[in-house]
Amino acid sequence: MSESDSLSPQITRSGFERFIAAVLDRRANPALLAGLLAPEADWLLNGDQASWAYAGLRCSRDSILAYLNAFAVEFQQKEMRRLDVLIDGEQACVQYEMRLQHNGTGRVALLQCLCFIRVEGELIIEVSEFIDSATLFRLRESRDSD
Amino acid sequence: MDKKSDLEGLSREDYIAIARDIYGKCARGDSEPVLALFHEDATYRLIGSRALIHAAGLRVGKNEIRESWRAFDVDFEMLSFEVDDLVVDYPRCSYMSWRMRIRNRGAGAEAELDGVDRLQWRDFKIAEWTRYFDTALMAALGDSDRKGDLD
Repeated sequence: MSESDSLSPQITRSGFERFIAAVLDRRANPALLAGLLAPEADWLLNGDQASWAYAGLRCSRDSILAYLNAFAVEFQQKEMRRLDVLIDGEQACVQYEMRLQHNGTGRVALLQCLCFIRVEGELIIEVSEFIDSATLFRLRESRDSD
Repeated sequence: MDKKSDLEGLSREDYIAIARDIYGKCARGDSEPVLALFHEDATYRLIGSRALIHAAGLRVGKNEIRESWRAFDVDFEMLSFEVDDLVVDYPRCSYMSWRMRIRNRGAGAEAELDGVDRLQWRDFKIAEWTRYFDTALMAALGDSDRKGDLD
């Protein structure tokens, strides 16, 4: 796929790749991520909302930042590694892993994650994210419960 | 379908049709034609801890993959399966998002599960298949002795 035929007129393929790198770099610091989000962006964290509050769809930049801020209060991102990026038109799929530490229990785990990112111009309009939620839950548990 | 000559020159739509066919066969438990598309040393990985989800972890080779699918079929019944979205760089790799409704055969609990499969192709055969989903929901469904819906 050539640069010219792959993406929206406002962003090239290499630009999209740099953009994705910036999104992942800034995920742990929502204030820095704000400038990359469209005001009406959607962010879906896939999962069962009944069992964890982070799951579900956020439909504006402010609600997305509130979610990411809440997540950052509970979990500290120690490491982020991109494993694969596939760009297809204005959509990309990113496979990555995060090493997270729970700020309450101190427990650390490496989580396998994946997200779909859709852009318009140079702003995110949609993210759909999958996180190994069972492992995330385990970080919340005290060591006594092992 | 497993011959290179049959797969070369496919359009995106052709590829989507093949992918849908793969999922349709998987959903019906018709696994052998799907396994024919795998390399002998292919890997299949369900994201998550095997301590929490019996079927999670890495399987290497067709025999282990076949056993993994059989084990899943023993524990769970797939009630519906829909392909949602596809991001593809054919013939290297594709990411397919899906939604399935499954039932724990033992407990009877049902749940709707969204996920994504990453299929890595090599020489027009599947070399790696990695499945992402809400692992907490799957673990709960596996453990559940409740009757009825979890969602």
